[in-house]
Amino acid sequence: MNPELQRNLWLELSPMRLLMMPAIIGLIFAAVWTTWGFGTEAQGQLAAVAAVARSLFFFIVVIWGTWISARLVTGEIRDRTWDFQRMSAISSWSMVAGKLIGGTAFIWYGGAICLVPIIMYTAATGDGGDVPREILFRVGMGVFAHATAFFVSMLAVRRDAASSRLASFFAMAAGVGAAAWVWSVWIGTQDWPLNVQFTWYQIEMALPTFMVASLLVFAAWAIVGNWTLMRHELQIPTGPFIWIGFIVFAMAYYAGQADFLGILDELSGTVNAASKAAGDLANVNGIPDSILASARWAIALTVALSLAYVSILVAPKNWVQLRQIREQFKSGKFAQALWNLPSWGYASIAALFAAIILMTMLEPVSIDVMEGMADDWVFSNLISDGQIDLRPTVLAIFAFMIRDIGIVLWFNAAKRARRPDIAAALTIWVLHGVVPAIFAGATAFTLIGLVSPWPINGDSWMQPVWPALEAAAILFLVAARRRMVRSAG
Amino acid sequence: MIEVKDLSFEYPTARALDHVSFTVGEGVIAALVGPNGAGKTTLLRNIAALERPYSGTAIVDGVDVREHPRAVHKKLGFLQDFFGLYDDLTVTQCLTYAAMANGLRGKAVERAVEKTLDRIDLREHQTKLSKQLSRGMRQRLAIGQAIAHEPKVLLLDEPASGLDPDARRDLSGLLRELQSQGITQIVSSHILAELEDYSTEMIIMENGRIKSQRGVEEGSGATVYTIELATPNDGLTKWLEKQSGITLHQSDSKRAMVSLDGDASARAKLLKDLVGAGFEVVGVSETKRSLADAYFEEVSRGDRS
Repeated sequence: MNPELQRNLWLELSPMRLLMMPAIIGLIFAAVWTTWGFGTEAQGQLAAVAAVARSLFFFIVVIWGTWISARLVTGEIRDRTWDFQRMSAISSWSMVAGKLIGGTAFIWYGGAICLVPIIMYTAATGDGGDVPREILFRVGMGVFAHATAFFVSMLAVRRDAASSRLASFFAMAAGVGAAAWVWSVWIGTQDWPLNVQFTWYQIEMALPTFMVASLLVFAAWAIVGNWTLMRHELQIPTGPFIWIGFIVFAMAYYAGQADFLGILDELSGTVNAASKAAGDLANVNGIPDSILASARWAIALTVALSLAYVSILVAPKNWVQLRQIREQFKSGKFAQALWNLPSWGYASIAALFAAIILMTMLEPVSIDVMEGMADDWVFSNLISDGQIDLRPTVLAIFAFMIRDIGIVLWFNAAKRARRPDIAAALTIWVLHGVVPAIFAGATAFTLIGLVSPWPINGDSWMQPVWPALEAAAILFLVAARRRMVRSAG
Repeated sequence: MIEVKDLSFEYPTARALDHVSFTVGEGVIAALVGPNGAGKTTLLRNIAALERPYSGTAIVDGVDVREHPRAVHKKLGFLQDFFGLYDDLTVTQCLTYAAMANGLRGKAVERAVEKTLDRIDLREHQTKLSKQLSRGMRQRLAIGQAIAHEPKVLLLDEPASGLDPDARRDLSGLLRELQSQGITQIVSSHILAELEDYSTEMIIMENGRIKSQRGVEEGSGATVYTIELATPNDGLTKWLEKQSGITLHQSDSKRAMVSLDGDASARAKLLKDLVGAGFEVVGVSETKRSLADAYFEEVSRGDRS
């Protein structure tokens, strides 16, 4: 047997606990059956018990389960047993499975008991396909929550922040937040018109089916992420391919949903001026192929940018690794240097790739096409020469991302930096949110382009120049700060 | 058995190990000593492949820690300064887990647990939860977990800290026994007197570098002579350094510790020469030189130079 699973089962499944869990849950169900459902039809009593079972499942599996999952590794570090595990012969898969399954075995025992009335009620009221979907959703939500909490706690380990109580709290909050988000989306899908199919890359399926499939795929990715971080902790060389795979998957997954945007607009009845203009050009499903392709790449770019921002903020800033990469580049060992790139490096490359593709697809849009929206559109005062060109804006977006990465590195480069990532995130928020709002309030729209991506009047190809200069300046400052720290010892 | 080659390790703001090189042979117990912050724990963690060196490497029983850290783990046991145990597992469960976690299966696990219980002398307490054990017994159980898979190398970081004299004596006995079974050990400790009980080599570290490596028999246990003057004389050190057949270990204006080539007549000659040179000698007494004496001599030699 997997030794880590064995150890966790020794600790989790004592005979007393195995007796107590069904006894307590059974008493709660009995109380609901005899009081809330008293005198009603059996179906009504079952509905009341199933409703309580859903809440109990969420409390036991999601809240209690993520609390445990968040401590599966940080607890070992606090108890000073982690290095012993790191030096063991347990493989990374066995370690992840042993902790996730063994550590939450008692939780799933309670969750399985709660699932019984939920399944009975679904079978009694729904159609035949609802029961497996219900089971997959509940189990998938629990696994996703646990794997997310475990992942965030492992990130804290990599950042050497695992001993802080906040780390476990954040990991648990991330797990519960992920499950709560999944549940809220699930509840939203219950009101979805039954005749409307969800479209993903022109593949049509029922929205709940798409949602459950997505949930299971993301839960699987979260477990793969745990495995990758565990490999790192166990000193097993791990290349960048898993992370690259996830970046490509996330870009493709969200880009596929562009197909659904036209239908969504029609359904929600919030057809704004912009979509109306696009609707004028519609041939199939309301959106022409060229615009659909551009929309997909725009979404892919947004996803890559988001991953770059998230990863630069949460990943450890390993200066020794960065120096090694610089030396490898200098000595012409490009493959080695690329292999060692940090996670945000790959996300940045993906963003650059998506930006270039998007730029090749975007054409300057003439004012005629946008006539319908020009009156109330915020950019309308910036349109000149009868056309608006968003290609320089795409380039500027990428340049601003490099600048923002520089800002995060600069805060982290200090010798005794205190919460540098939070300081950097606040700075970036001020630059992209607060300052542009002030400029907009003063109707100084052109100045917005100095701090955040914004189309500018006149020669729009000047637009990326300023953020490129900012990026170069901040990277120079980062290098200078590091030199200073190193020379100070 | 252990070969450290030009190993450097860096924390984000400072270099903790600076081109460290040394070799420890099979069956040796090497005492790793040095002031706080010298880099002892970092060095042990690098040898244990828990940290990745910035440059250079360490070879454990022919396996490179940079290239094959997981293979090195199988050859090693490591007891850290602040170790932890699974408080709610019994002694037997702790050892069973340690054996299984290190790749043993089936009957081999039972055999390893039985053997380890005898080695660490905890058979009588095998059904107790680890949280019910005394500090010394917990220390033995932690060592038991580290050796359950019969590693060839054992690294111990401050193993005696917090132990009472009885538990320290037991620990010394256990380490000597493990040495007799061929296990190579590196023991980092501040308690030099305790290291003297079982160490065969001494590696001195300072500021992330190896200051010296020597056999303990060269450094301690040897007969040395302490010269004591009635009144201080600043010329004592210089005078002793000029004499042939004398090795000066330590000295100040009033006292000096030396080794002599030769027997009692050499000692008599030294006394006569000292008096002849005008030193007011109170006595030349015979003493055994301790590991602490050897350590401080080495450290002060560096300070003088």
